Amino acid sequence: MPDERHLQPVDGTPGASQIDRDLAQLLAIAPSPEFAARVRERIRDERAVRHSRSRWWVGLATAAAAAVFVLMFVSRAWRTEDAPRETRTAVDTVLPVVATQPPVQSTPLASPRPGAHEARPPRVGAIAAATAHAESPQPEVLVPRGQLRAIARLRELTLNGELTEKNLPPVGGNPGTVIDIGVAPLTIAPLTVPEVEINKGDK
Amino acid sequence: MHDAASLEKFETLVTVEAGVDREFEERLRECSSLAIRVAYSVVGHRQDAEDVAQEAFARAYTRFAQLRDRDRFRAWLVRMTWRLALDRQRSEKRRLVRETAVAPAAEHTAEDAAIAEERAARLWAAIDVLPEKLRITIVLSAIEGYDTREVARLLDLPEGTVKSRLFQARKGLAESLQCLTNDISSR
Repeated sequence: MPDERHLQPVDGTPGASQIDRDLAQLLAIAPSPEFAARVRERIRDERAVRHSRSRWWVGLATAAAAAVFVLMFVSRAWRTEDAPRETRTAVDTVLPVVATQPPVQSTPLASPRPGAHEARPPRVGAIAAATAHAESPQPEVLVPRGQLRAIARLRELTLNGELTEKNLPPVGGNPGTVIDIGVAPLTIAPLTVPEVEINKGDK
Repeated sequence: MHDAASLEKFETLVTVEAGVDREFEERLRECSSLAIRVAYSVVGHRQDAEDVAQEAFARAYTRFAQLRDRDRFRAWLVRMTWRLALDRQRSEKRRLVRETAVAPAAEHTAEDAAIAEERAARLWAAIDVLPEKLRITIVLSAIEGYDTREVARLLDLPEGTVKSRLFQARKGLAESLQCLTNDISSR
């Protein structure tokens, strides 16, 4: 209900209730019968536009993903082509392994107490050996030169499709001696912990 | 297996969309008058008001997921319609001409109709000079049958604030109408 306490009609001016009535009458318009249909049509149109727009985005995203995938594949193929042939031969083939380092003997943990420093030198030596091994130009897997040549030849024949019975070595021939893998046994020395002395005065 | 899963997903989507459409239809039915009247109070032209309300409904549809609650939908719709109507009024100020024709049902003679039109024109002029926050309060109040609680809910304001604004708006309207009356009588 209109609040009429504060306003009284003044000199030909309508009072609050008259203003409220006039205003309500002024704004009392109803939607036209086709209003709802127009709204529905508008929504349908917008939905169609949005669908086509989203389809366009999906297409673009798919094309971009495909392009990235192709680029990755091509660059990977190029990198494989550029890699040195010898390295690939050494890595791709399963060859007998020769131990290149003398066995490293594990030592017990060094005690923090003075007097136990004698245990350190072998550990430092092992690290130095490992570093030298890493910096060595030799590959990790060593194969006798003759065997490597034979494997390379076999691979070449296979790739060229020239591998025939004529090219194969005679059956029953001496295939050569395979070197056994020489891995020295790992020995672990028992851990000795010196007894801790507790002095009553120490705090 | 794959086809069955796709079909099920498609059916779910269709069902969800149908549900959204049904709810939206309901809102459209119950809020059309509100939106059109709010727009009409600003642009003062029935066709323009319908265009504005249509735009507001189209925008509401795109955000319907967040506006499913009835009260929230009505409040959002009123604010959006009001803003769109003001934008339209500002951009097409020269073109927009207020309708002063009043529904003829209440009037019997040509003289009565003329008086009513004159009164409507003066009322529009008085409404136009009101500050925006008072204007929307009194307009919504008139549309909602002077239910301050409903207006407070629509404007997200305390009821006391709405009552105070309503008082100021009525006072402003009365003063403006008095000025207009004095101007006419002094001619």
